[in-house]
Amino acid sequence: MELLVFVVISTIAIASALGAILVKSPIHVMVWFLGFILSVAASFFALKADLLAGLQLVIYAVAIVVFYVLVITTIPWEKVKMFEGFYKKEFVFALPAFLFTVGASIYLVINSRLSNLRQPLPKDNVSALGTVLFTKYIAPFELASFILLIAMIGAIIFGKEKANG
Amino acid sequence: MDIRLLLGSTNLYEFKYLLPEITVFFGAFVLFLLDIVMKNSETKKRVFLWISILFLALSVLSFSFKSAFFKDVFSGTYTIDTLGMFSKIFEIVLTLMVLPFLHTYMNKKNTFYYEVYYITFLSLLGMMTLSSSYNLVVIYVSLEMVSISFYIMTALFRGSFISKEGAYKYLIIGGISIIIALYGAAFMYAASKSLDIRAIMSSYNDANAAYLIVGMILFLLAFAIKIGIIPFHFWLPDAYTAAPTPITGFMASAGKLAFFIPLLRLVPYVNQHLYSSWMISVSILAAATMIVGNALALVQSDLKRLLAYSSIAHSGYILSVLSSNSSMGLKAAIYFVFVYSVMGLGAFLVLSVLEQAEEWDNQLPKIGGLYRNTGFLSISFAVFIFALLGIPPTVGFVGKALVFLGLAIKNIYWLGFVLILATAISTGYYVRIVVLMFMKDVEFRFKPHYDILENVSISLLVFLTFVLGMFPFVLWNGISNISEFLFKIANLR
Repeated sequence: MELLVFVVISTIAIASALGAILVKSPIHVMVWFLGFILSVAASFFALKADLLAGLQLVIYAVAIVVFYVLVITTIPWEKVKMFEGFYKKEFVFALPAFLFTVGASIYLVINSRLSNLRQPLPKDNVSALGTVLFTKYIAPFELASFILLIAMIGAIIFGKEKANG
Repeated sequence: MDIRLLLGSTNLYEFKYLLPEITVFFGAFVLFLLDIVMKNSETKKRVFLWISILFLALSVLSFSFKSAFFKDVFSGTYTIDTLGMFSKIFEIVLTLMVLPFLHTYMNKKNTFYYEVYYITFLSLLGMMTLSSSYNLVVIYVSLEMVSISFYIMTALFRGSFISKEGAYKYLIIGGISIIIALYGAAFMYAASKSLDIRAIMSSYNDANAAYLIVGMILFLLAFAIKIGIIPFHFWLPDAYTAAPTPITGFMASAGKLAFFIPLLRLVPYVNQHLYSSWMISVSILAAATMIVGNALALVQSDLKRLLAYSSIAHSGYILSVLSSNSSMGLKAAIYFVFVYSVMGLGAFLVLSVLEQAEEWDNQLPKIGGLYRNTGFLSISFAVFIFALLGIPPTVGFVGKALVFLGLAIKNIYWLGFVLILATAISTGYYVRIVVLMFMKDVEFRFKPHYDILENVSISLLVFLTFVLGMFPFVLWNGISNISEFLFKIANLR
């Protein structure tokens, strides 16, 4: 049963990831991307990582997708260089890298015993994560707030610059 | 859960070890408030400069100097040790030297941003935390902090399209490198159930070997993008050319130093099982970087771009000696990364003064006859160029000799020969700059303006370039202790 769920979810995930690359309209890309995000959230649910799935839904499916749609509406599309057919040269360069990555991943899956290394998750995801965040990982947690501060200052600088001309 | 229970599990007295970091953060905070309170004026510009200098000086003074010191704080996520202390002091001092140039440059180019001061402070804070942790989460968070500040600082050139374009390229490729680092971290965590590099590397066994090696190599590749290793260097020349020149110097010196520290910390923990995969990947990357970086620098006509490619080549020199994975190799790498930050910063700072001239467009022929315009500037530029080339008695020579020694100890001679070949290629462009400067007719008339602070910084950099080259043991004794201490701790595990 677990395997069946996993196969269905991951097929949807791969299909929507491919869809996001292959369709032309930017809004359709976002819809496919949303499908990808939802299927990843579903696979987290299947693995009983509730908090991660919830965060995936709240942050990606809501905040980031909405943000992207807002950005898409502000872009002057008539000025943007559109897709001009198949990039042959890039494909030739990308193919060996792609084949190498796939081959290496398959080798890893076959030759390693990662499933033996799996740890049982704590029953109460949220409180376990909260406790760790405020005790052991207090230093990186505090530092992460600086990232937001820096990004906010940067956004204000460039926003102001545009407003002033 | 009871809040007192949570607070009790964090030892609040451990914050006293973070005094330099807290001082830097407090400086950023004060500047941030001043920016809101004060009205824009000439006085405000000078106040910002002096307050930044004051806080950086206070931060240097707040270090407690101890040798062979090691302490894990915050449940092992943050490490206070001698390597961290050395690199933090270097980063702060390099920032101190950049700030006066940044002030003049922004004034002259009519692109003054008060925000740049506190972004510099926050990126310095990121560098300091990056230099002092073995924990993957802290490394990731600090890496993001430094990188995001760099993306913003690259774009801070008012009305310049190239600056925005360079920043955008940096943003995209920097984002990819962060993702690769996270992917590697996920493999390492899956293999070892730990987030601490020391525990991860010593958890080697047959069952998790493949995942550990993949994680290690992906982690290495992510840092290779950050420090500009070929073939992941595409962002570097564009971003370095696009950024305001003092900021380029800041990224190439303090930034590069900070990005190298986690790799340096990894070296003592690469044990004999992991050694061959580490050696092969590092040495191939390093050989490609040294040869291709120097060959590409040879064909550049833009002086800033040329120095950017020379910075790539120097990353290759430093990375090459990490492949030897010995105490001697680590010493050479630490020495070289410190001295490169001195000479690289010097070269970029001289360029930033030259950019004051109207006629200056960074093209190589424009430097012709600079000696007749400004003696001090051209002589100090020649000193930095000779140091980058590696002529005795400057630091560059000692650095390259030590790298060669580090490679020879482990019998990796082929990489040593690649190093010599790369240096031979680099002679072409470095010597051309010096010949143009001293033996050609004047291209344009130019009287540079620099005040006392800028004079002091350039003189200090020239002084360091000579003194650390003629008396390398000033730095060497400290570095030697650091490296042996790191290996001793690694062997205890």
